[in-house]
Amino acid sequence: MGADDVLLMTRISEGDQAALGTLYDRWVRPVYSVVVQLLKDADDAEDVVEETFWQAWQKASSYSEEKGPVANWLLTIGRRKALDRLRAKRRHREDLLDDTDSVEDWASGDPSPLEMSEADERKARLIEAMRSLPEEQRQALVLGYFRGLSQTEIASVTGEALGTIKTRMRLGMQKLREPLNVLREEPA
Amino acid sequence: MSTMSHEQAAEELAGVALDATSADVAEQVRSHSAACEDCARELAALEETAGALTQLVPVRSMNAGRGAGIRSRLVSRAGVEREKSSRNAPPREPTVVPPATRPRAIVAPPAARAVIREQAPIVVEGITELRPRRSIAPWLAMAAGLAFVASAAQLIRVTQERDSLRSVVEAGQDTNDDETRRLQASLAAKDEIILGLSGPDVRVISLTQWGARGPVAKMFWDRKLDGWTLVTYNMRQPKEGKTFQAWLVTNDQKKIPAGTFDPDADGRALVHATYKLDRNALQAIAITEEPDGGVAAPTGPVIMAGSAE
Repeated sequence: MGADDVLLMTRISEGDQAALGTLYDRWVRPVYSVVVQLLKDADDAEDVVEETFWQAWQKASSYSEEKGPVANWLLTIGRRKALDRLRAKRRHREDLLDDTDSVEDWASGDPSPLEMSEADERKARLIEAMRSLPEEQRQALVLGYFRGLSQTEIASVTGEALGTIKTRMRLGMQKLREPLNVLREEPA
Repeated sequence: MSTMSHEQAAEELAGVALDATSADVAEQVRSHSAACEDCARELAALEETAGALTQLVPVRSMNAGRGAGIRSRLVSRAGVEREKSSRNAPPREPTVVPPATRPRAIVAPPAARAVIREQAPIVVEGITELRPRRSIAPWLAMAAGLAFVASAAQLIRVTQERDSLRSVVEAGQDTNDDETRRLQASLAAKDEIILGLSGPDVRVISLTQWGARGPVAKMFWDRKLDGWTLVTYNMRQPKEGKTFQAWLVTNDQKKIPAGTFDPDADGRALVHATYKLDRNALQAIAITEEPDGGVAAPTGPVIMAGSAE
């Protein structure tokens, strides 16, 4: 899939609109999943999905394999656009936390389509890695990544100092790296 | 040039990787990382870690119809953009599809469904009046005849294109290259258009231009296969920066976008799309003139309209 995606990006950068359609067919589901997870609104999520793939069309020539897999590049674009929209809409502190976020809440869905063949195993390892984190570090990552809160917002809702949140986020991410290194794809 | 110290940047790396910092901080960190190998390496590793978290996001699917509409808009928009840029480009190597048969009309391949996002009902000037303001029945009959000829001509043309494509695809079937796959997709598109014009459950809605002779159009609605094929003849070119856009007007006054198109030099266009609509829900078909790329709801003048009653 990786080499195919790179070829698709090359064709898109050459103006092949059919290749854009193929890219969309291949990755719309994970992009939509990430975006709707943050926005919690189907209409907004659809707008962001469209903006994401349009940006992929316009910026295809700027993509290179050094930036990582095409899927991650797309998901990053989508996630950032969703965060921009989400943060523009947030106005009240009570909007920042309207449900409880736990590992189980976001780990209960079907396996991600990104790596269907080993999805269950990879997902299980990821969940275990997250569960092994100290509670406060896990909370910072869940609020930051899955809820799209900024560090300032996390500090506001948890009542902690901004510096404390930054430290928790940094330590949590560093701890995740080791077990996640085991799950990294082998180069093609 | 970043004013951030190495220690400050190191503290912010995780937040940047998770997009949990302000844009200003992210910019400063990336600026610092461009000059600091340690921070660049750490940031890349953290971004890879953040990317892995995506796998934990529950999979959700978009509404299939809306997803198809988005896809259609994207591909259509990309095609318009490419057309514009290619007008200034040097001549390219000719493709196996004869250029003369595909000047500017936009034909949606089967996988690129029409825009089908439903809109809140709005009043578009002229749309609510479905019949011409003066009696032009004799001209309608002639227009219907012209449109029939136009559609028959289109059918013949598309059939010939399909047969030509088929022979090329069959010749290249042992290969697995991108060009063959593209041609196969084009062949499937032609087959679908032919079916949409000649299928057993196809209803025809004629569109006329109010108050003047000239362009004619017919919408072929294949109610069994939910196919919509718009055929036009003798249409003028859209104004600079504009395109024509077709609309399905429902009985409850929703205006559903049904594709954009630019006629060829002879004023002909053929647009095919797929959209499921209740057999009794259609009130009219309309064509408006809109900004390039199309719009989600009609904004421009009505060029042609036809009642489905």
